[in-house]
Amino acid sequence: MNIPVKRWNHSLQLPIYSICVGLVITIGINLARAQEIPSPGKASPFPVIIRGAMVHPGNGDIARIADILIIDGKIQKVGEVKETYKQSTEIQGQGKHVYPGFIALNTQLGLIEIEAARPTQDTRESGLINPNLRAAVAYNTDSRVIPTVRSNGVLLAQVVGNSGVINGSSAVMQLDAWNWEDALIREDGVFINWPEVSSSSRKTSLQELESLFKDARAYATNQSAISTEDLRVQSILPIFTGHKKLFIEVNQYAALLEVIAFIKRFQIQPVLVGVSDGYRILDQLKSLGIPVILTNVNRLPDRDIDSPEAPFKLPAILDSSKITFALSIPGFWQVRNLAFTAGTAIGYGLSPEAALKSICLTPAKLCGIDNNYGSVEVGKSATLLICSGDVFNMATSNIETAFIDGRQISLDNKQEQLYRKYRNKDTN
Amino acid sequence: MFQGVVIGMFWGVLDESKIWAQLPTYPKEGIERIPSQCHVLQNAWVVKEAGAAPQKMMVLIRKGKIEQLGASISIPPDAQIWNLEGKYIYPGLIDVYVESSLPQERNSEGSWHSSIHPEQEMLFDNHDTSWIKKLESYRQLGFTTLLCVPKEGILRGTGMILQTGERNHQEIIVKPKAVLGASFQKEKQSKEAYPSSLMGSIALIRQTLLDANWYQKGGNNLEYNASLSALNDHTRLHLPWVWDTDSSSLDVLRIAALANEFSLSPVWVKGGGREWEWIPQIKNSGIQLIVPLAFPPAPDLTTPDAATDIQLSQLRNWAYAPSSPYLFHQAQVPFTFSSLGKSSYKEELLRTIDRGLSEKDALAALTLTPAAWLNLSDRKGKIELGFDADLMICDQPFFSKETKIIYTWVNGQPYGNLLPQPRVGKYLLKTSIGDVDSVLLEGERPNYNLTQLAPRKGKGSLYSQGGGFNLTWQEDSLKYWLGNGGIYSDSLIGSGEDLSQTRISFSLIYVGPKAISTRKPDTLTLPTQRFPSCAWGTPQLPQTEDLVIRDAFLWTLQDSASPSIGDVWIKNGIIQALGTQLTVPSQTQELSGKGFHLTPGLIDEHSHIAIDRGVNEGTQAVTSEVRIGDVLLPDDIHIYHQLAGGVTTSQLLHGSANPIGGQSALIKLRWGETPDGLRFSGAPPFIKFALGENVKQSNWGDSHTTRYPQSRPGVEQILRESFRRAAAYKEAEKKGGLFRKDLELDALSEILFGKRKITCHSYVQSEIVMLMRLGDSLGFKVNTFTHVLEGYKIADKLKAHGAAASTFSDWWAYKYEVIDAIPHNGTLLSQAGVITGFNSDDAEMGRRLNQEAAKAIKYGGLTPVEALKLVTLNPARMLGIEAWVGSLTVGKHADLVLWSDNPLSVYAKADKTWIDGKRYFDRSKIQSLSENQLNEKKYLLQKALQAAALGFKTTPYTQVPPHEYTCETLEP
Repeated sequence: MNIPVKRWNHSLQLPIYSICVGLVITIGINLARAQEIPSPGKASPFPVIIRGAMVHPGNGDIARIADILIIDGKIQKVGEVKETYKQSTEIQGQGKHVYPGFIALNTQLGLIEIEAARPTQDTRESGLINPNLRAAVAYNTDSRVIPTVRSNGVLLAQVVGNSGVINGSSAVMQLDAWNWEDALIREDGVFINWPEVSSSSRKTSLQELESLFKDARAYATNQSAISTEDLRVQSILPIFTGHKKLFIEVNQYAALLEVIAFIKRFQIQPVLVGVSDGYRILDQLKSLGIPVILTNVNRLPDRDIDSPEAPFKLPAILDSSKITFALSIPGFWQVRNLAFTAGTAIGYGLSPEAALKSICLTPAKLCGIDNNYGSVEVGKSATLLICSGDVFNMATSNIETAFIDGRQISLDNKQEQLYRKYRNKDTN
Repeated sequence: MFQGVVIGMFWGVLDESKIWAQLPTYPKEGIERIPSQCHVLQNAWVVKEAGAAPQKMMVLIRKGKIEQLGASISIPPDAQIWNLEGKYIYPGLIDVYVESSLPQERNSEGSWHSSIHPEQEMLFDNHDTSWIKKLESYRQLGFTTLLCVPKEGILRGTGMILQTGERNHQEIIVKPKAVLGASFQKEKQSKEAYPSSLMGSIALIRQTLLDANWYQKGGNNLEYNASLSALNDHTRLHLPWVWDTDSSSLDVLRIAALANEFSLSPVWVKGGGREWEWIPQIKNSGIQLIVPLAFPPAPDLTTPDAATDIQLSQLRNWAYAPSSPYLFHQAQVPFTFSSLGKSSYKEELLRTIDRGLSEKDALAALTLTPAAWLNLSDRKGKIELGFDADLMICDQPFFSKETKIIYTWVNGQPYGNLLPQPRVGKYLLKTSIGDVDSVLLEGERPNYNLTQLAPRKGKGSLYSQGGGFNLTWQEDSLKYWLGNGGIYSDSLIGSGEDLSQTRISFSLIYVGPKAISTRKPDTLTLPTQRFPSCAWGTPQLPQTEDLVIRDAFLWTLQDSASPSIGDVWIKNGIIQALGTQLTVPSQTQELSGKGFHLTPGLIDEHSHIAIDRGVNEGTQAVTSEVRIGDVLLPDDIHIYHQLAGGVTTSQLLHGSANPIGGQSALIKLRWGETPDGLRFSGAPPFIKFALGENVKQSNWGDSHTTRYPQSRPGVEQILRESFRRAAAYKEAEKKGGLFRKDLELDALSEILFGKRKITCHSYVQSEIVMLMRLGDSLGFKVNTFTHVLEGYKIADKLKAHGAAASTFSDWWAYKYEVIDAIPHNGTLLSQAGVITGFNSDDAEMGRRLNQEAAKAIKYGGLTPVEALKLVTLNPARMLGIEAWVGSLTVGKHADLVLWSDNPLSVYAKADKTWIDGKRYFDRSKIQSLSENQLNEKKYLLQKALQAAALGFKTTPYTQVPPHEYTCETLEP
């Protein structure tokens, strides 16, 4: 049954949405006073219904037109919503697209504000073996960069430092929070940056790595009460107990083979990151069930005789080889282009469904948050976005509305504000 | 293995036999040793000159010259007779590139720059043992004449011709100040940071040569400058220029350009090994090549991934290099060889013969040709009556691996080991304790090894000296003895004792040569030509097409109209017609563009691809004298990658390390062409300026706090000061009279007179406005602000000034001055009427400028046509080339891209890219090119492995670092 609604056109590029008669519900931010860093969105006290949008589930399934019912931050229904509520927020999604919030993996978002300004960097630490560094504690929710990434559909991010051989422990954050504790979803993994074959310090590094993992395995398999006081070892233990994932960044063929021997030696199921030579060990990746995070679709071919298409085609090759993979972009501000690299992969043969999955459900699985995030499915967190067009394509990527855990978030950012300020410059 | 007639003479170091003409100018001490001045060499095979058949003849030498030559000549009574039965006599070899140090003491009255010292003269000192050793080592290799070339600096100083005999230096020097050495590499110990780049070195050379000209015209009345004075002297004397180059094949073309500009002649270039890639251009330049007989060894493919990582160009060069002398010969490029003083030169020489060079031409390049180059054709290079008796005497024909040089005669005096040497080969070892063994003696004077042949049990070592030898022999831990003996023509006889001090006498009786080791020839089928000679190089350069593309969506960009379906006819490199259902001549090829989109080629206003050895001079605040155009790198693979992204024209900019950088180069991405073939002809000249953090060294670390400028006000003052200097310079020129042309101020004054346009790296609004006001006050317009990330804040001012903006789509947060960058910048500037473009500044992003343009639709809502203009027509307008490129317009260049989809779609791929009507990229060819080059690589890898297995030298493979420049790349 249709409830009569009053159409209400917001200024300043907010989507047209409708609210129940007789109620003034403030959703989102106070636009009269644009904030450089918008306040986090508030939970809706009422059900939210998105009507008739093309829903892209993000789990690899084909999109279909459906309504979405959101209650208490959860997706209650995807399909035809016939239920009526005394009070609800309705969003007209006809002709529009709903996608799960994108998940940016392996990023320094919130850990760095200005690349060239050292005081703004919390990504590098002294020493090479730093598994115990917790990225979460440095995550700056008031970074000016985060809203610019969010407004392009990246709603969750796995953040981690990027120095040394063991960079530290990563954390999955939701990108609309007051402080890092609010933002933290879970501390999900430890990142290794496997020394490249030409690296000068690799022998020492690999020795240290081996020693550390041997210690950790010993403690992990020891059921008695003996525990370690070594902070590094303590931070490795959850890998052996299955509470954290090991992410290993490795690219060259020779190093990949070492890594495979390493994980077999320690019986670890890791996620490999980078893997530019991955096309040479497809069979092993597949038979060992190792998932992969490709770090940059937009990268120059690694070798002179590689086809100019090689990096663009790698996602499609992995997909057709039935290897689980996610797409990512190195850096922090750059990750706002995450969906476009998925678009490029589509241009080179990946299906749109697989492309979406590679920035939604697969990243959620790799971070261990897929029970709640990564797809538009009943029972999951309402972390999703509405785009007026094809979100993979720059020209049509116009994200109108986004929710994190059912809270409608502001899509405003410092750059939009500067745009508005100068768009109307009075030049006499 | 000395078999000549041993004459009981002692050859002293200071034998002074050359007293025939007149008394020398130097005093003598003690009792003179006066060696014979007359020799007869008989029974040898004489090769009179390169190409001549060996003839049995006698050679009569008197007073250093060849006096008689013939099958039978009467032997003068005072002659020493040399029986050289079975030996071969060749003209002594000449090496024209013997790197030698200049004296440590430097003239301080020359150039301001410590690497410019053309006035320095090489000095020979026969008390300096290093010189004596050098002469001896070359002599042992068969060389009788050397051109010694200075090895340090840019304009290095003069070299000299020496003969390799050991005499007083007055006699050793054939000609002092014979050539002028030069290179692009400043001294390692250089006091100056400048130049740090190749283009800086070239600018420094050009300025110095201009200064020499000024000096000659009267500058010498104003100052004394030993460097300029010497340069003018050298020019007067037509001293040959001898250039040292590194491994870049293109330096030879850069030298050719300098030679052409300054009429340098003759010019000899010691090649870096890749000159074979540009043979027709070298031929046209008139440059003479010195080919070092040291070709690249086969790569060692045993390290992890070496075979995967090694570049096709490295393998091709390994394959081609030994063939290059033959290719030069075929193309009639004049060349000589240099041994670099290495005994391995012989093996390399044989490889050139394996690869097709005739023995005649190989020998000529070591005798006749260098003699001619050195103007010694009347004295050296041949065995001829009246010529210097410079001879190389071999035990076999020269062109064999086993050949040994027995004597080298220099100026009528024999050098070589006159004392007997053991002959290598098979021997019978007999000892007084009864053993009789067949053994093999191998090695070279003075160290030899002995091995028992069957059973392979015993081994020994032999050290020869003074006509005798020491020997140790061991068969097992108990059977061990040592002894001494004398060397006889066919035996070695001596005695010694074993471990129990039992006396043993022994003899080694020569049986015959070791089974002749046949040298494995270096054969290889040369891979086919590629343009350029690297991966993705094509076997043929593309031809100009006469082609009609039908039924494509045409983005003409002539106005703001949306694309519509139509045809385009191109011919002679020009767009002939646009329309629907075009009628074209019957010979015109047809291509269906149905479902495709056709756009003008993309133009990247800010690129750093295809630049060799340094994108930033940056060592001084003002370096307007350097030119990117001097250092183009046409085989940079990024050219191909960007063609695959639809780019056809790129402006190559100097970096942004200093306020006034270098002169820009505008190129078309004509993959496979020469450096000159890349240039966009007729385009207005540009120069790079830079403002902000880079030029004030904000992010260079705490050690960079003293170079002026360190602040934006400082940047303004440096610019103002530079233009003041430029204006004063032009004033001086106007006054007439003697005028010193200054390349730095020339370029700056061109800006003042509107003849050179500025592309200025800039970020924040304050500095942008500052430069416009500076321009206003001095009467020039700033043509383009590049990056200009705060341009949107002052779009009105940019418009009023008439400046264009070339920006990024969405970059920010990489340094403090981009903190207010917004992705709507392009849209806001466009909408304000500023000519606006998007550029790459990045080799990777340059492959997808169309996607970057599409972001202007997302951020701010530019129309698709206006968005595409950001990377086509608008950069063409700001570069002043819109008359030729930037839109699909009849009469413009046929620079086209056929896209698989709407070019602003993330899914679109450049399917074909034409420049001047030539198809430089065709996506459908990727597969076949890829297979072709993979097969070629496999073949070459296999050959490299074989070479290693055959015992050819290998070199550890080192990965070539990726060649990617951005604005901020500083050379170490």
